Amino acid sequence: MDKQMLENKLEDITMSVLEQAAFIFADPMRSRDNLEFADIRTLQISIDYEGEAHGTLLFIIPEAICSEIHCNMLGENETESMTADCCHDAAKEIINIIGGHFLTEIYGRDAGIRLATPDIREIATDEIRGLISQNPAAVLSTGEHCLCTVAIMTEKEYEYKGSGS
Amino acid sequence: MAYNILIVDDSKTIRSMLEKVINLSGVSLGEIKTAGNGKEALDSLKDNWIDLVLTDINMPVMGGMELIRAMAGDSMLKSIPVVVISSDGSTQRIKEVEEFGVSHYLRKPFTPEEVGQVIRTILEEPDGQANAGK
Repeated sequence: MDKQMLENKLEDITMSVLEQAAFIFADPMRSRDNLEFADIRTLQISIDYEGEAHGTLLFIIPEAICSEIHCNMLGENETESMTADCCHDAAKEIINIIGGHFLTEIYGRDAGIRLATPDIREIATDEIRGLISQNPAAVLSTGEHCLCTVAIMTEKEYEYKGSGS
Repeated sequence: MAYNILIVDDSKTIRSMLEKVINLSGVSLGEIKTAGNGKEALDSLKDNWIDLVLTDINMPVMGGMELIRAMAGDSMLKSIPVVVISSDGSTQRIKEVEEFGVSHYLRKPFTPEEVGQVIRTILEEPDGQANAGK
């Protein structure tokens, strides 16, 4: 599977999960020159996978989207009592779902691969640019914000020709 | 009859979502209990009468598979129906939980209708368990 195919899969999975789980509609950004992460607190939610294949998936989003994800998943309006932890928890669940679908799509349903639990941290714009340029990535726009999903795979995993479609 | 349901997921968001879905399912409800991992779930199962367990697989401390194994090995708990709700869609995982008698495996993202249907099938139409979709 080449890099472009992986990026197309990442785009499809990320858009579909965001739409189905959080009612967030995003479109692919064809140009990556104007990533609008500057001056926005941006979070990297990572999830490792291991077994017959191993690697890491990253979900990179402005913190503002976390609260939207949380509210949409629960069908609630934003309230003052909503904590950052609640919003981060919702974003972690999204990468967990993306991860599950990515693994079966790329490696096939018969592959023995397990997801770990997600981690979250702040990330700088320069670091995001580096990750996107060096790895297969889906870069999406909600109209208001950019977000991306990055697959960090070793060369061996990158060339995996498992039973994924 | 009012049914007590235990939700097991490390995500507070998913626990809250499922609580809402269960409340809207139309099933006659007693209490909805929640647990953040398999260990908390086993503690809750020892202290409460539970009619149905909905559990995630991938959780810290004690995962869903360990919970299912522990329940299957306990004479008091093995008859409680378990529904797995997980992002893991591998055939290996689905076969593994089936071997322990789990009748329903829902993949995230789930719809409220799917969850509601499975709950109604298990609690109100016990004979329909074996035929319910995954």
